[in-house]
Amino acid sequence: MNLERRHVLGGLGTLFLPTGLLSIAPAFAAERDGTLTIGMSTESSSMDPHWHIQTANSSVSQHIFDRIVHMDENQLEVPGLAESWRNVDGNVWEFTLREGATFHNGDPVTVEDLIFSYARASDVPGAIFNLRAYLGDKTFEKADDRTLRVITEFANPIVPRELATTAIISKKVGETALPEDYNSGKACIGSGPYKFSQYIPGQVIEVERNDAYWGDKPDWSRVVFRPIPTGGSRVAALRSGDVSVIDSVPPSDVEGLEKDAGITLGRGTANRMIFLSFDHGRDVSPYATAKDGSEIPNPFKNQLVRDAFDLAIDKKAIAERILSGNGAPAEQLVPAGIFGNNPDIELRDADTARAKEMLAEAGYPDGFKLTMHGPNDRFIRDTAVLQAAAQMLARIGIAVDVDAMPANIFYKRASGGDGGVPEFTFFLVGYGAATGEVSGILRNLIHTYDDVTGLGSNNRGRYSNPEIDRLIEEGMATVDDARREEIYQQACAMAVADVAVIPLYYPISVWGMESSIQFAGRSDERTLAMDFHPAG
Amino acid sequence: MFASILQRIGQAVFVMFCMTIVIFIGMNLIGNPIDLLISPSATPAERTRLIAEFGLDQPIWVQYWRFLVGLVQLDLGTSYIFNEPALRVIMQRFPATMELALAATFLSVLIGVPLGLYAGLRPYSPVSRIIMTGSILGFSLPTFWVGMMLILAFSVQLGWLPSGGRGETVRVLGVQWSFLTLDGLSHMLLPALNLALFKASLILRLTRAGVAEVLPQDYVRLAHAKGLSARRVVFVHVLKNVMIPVVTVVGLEFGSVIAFSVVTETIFAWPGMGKLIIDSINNLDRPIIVAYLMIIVLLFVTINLVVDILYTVLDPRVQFSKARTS
Repeated sequence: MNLERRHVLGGLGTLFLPTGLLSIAPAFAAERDGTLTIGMSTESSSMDPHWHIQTANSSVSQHIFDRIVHMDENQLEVPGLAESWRNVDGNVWEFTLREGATFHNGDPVTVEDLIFSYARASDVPGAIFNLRAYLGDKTFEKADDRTLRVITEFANPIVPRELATTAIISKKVGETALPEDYNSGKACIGSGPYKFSQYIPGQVIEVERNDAYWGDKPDWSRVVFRPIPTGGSRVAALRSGDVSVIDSVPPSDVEGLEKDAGITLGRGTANRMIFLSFDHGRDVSPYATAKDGSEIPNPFKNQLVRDAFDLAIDKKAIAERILSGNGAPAEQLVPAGIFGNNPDIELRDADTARAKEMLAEAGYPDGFKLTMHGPNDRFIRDTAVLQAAAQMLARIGIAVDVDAMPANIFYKRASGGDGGVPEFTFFLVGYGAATGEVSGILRNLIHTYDDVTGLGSNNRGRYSNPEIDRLIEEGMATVDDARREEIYQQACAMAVADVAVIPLYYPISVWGMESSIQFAGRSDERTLAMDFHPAG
Repeated sequence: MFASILQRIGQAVFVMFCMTIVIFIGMNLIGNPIDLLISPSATPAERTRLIAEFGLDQPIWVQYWRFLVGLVQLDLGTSYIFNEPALRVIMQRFPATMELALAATFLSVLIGVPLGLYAGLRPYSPVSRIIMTGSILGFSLPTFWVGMMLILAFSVQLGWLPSGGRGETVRVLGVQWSFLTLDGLSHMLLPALNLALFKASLILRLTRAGVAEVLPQDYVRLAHAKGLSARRVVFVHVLKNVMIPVVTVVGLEFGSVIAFSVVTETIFAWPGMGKLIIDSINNLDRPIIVAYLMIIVLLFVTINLVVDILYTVLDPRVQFSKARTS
């Protein structure tokens, strides 16, 4: 063929030319009163602050909406829209509203707005993760123009914490608002440090500083949240200067970013415990059998077996090697610094030899066969954690199969069908309470499962110890903080001594940011622009 | 032709109907969204209440009937996650996916056809060998890895292009588009290139094979013998005949880019539909899954229709009503 080469290739030149001309990388470092761009691993699913209470949604809504009580970085209560509060009489609380707080449309925040917000938050049609768990036992009334009275069914010491979950919206705006008005911004009017500016699903959320804010004014005049779900891309966006802050730095990138001079990392131990749960309830548990597959009585009814498992699993090794420092080994139900943490409980060192002896004492010198279950897409490196634990158990003679599955299948089977029995024998789950103290985990996880009162609702292993139950119920009715903490600490110590569950680790949230930004870390995993400060 | 289009629409409706049944049964087997999304502090009574509120306690055929009733009223249900009608959630993300798919397809044709043509015309030249070896790389390198490498090279190292997102958009006809701004285009280039790489290799190889097959044929020899310019022979007589399989593949690939570009969309944080469907499956957000798959079926049927019409343009011997209906 006598075709000229340029006839074919001529058109291709244009393809390679313009890339250089198109480069408009906005690589400016974040400055005071400038824009802070944050790359988020998870996107807020709605701008409606009462719709779905998960970390990503709460992070964004915290910028636009205030609560009457706020939580500091260690999840201790600090004044929000209420400047003070007091327990009047066991089950009656009074909150004094701050003067001078206004919504973004200029209206003052009134007690009516608070009452309206709580009513709406308990009843958003279609909301699965709703706030009834925190608001259900309360009635709200206006004591005077600046005082909200909260009456609970029974004495409830954590009313301020429970109310810290619920964003305050304006009654005037909220009464007529449709669900889509929150996403369009029309009804997205709060009293928080930032005002709604733009929301394009999947793409961007933008907020602007509220210069009329009652509290400390944040350093950034504008904050842009960009969802970047892939870990590697999030790190690349930070490195290339497209964003100034990212959340959830993937474990594999921690070391590389630490060496990068332009980037610093911030950490916070999350108030969430990832743990292994036993079947305490059934006399014969389906996934624990003799090594030849024949039926045996449920071995986890025996404290010695649980103790042996606890000793066999090396939590330090899991935290260091499997999680590469994105987890802190857990010795009890909540990490240090959180209300209810018992400083006397120490992390046990793993001891394979002793564990083996205990297993023999319990009547299983040759171990038994066990299938371990867990989700494979819920926690950091969850499948690897399961496999590591399985290997550690193999050393004391337990033949362990690991069965990891997607969370959407796992949770249905782990909780059981309608009124059904939880299916698994030994499984990996996690628990973190929005109220930021130990009582949530004690009442929902450790307390005996009770259909009627709702206590033990997350107790999938059906652990039951009447003595601990009594302590938990006593604590739940004790308003005095010091006394209550003592009771809870005692309950924690007993649950740990009983090996009700095997705490494995507390996740460590890792944020990456330009080295000029200062950040102290948080225990509730939220990413708030108010916590990040420009240097100088 | 008109009857044939009607027949196609009939087929589409039937396939979509089957799809809804499969999804309903499948989703029911997996689990229910309540267990997945409910607050860990919620009481069992609250859980039961919610299950009843969503109608998930009803037998599957009752739920399915309710769904069909809604469907007739063009109501595909409200997303459990986003609290917006499923159709609207999908349509918000559809333009982004659409323009990325168009850009990727355009790029792949622009790269694949000329290179394939060249390699077919000069099969023994060293350049052709390089092209063919390169196309093997295009086939075999995983999209995920190539995407990360593109970001590392062009965003992190060179700093020429943004690492992800959609950039500045312009609203035209009520929809946000990126391709109308320079910033938007610069955001689109890397993901489009990433998606185009595999397709370009595919088209390149198809074109080359086609050219090799057509060249020795009598009509091409005749055209040369008649003294037509090489340019006219190649671009009119050869290329037109090579294009039929290429058009089929481009059409099908276009559909699959729209439906399954999840990997690229996730790496480049491109706010399209791909990530939406994966998230929805993970969260068991049934209204979104059903609506999404129905839209995809509709899309593939439409693309097939367009491809068939294109055949008649490229090859007058093909009559539309007899065109294959795969």
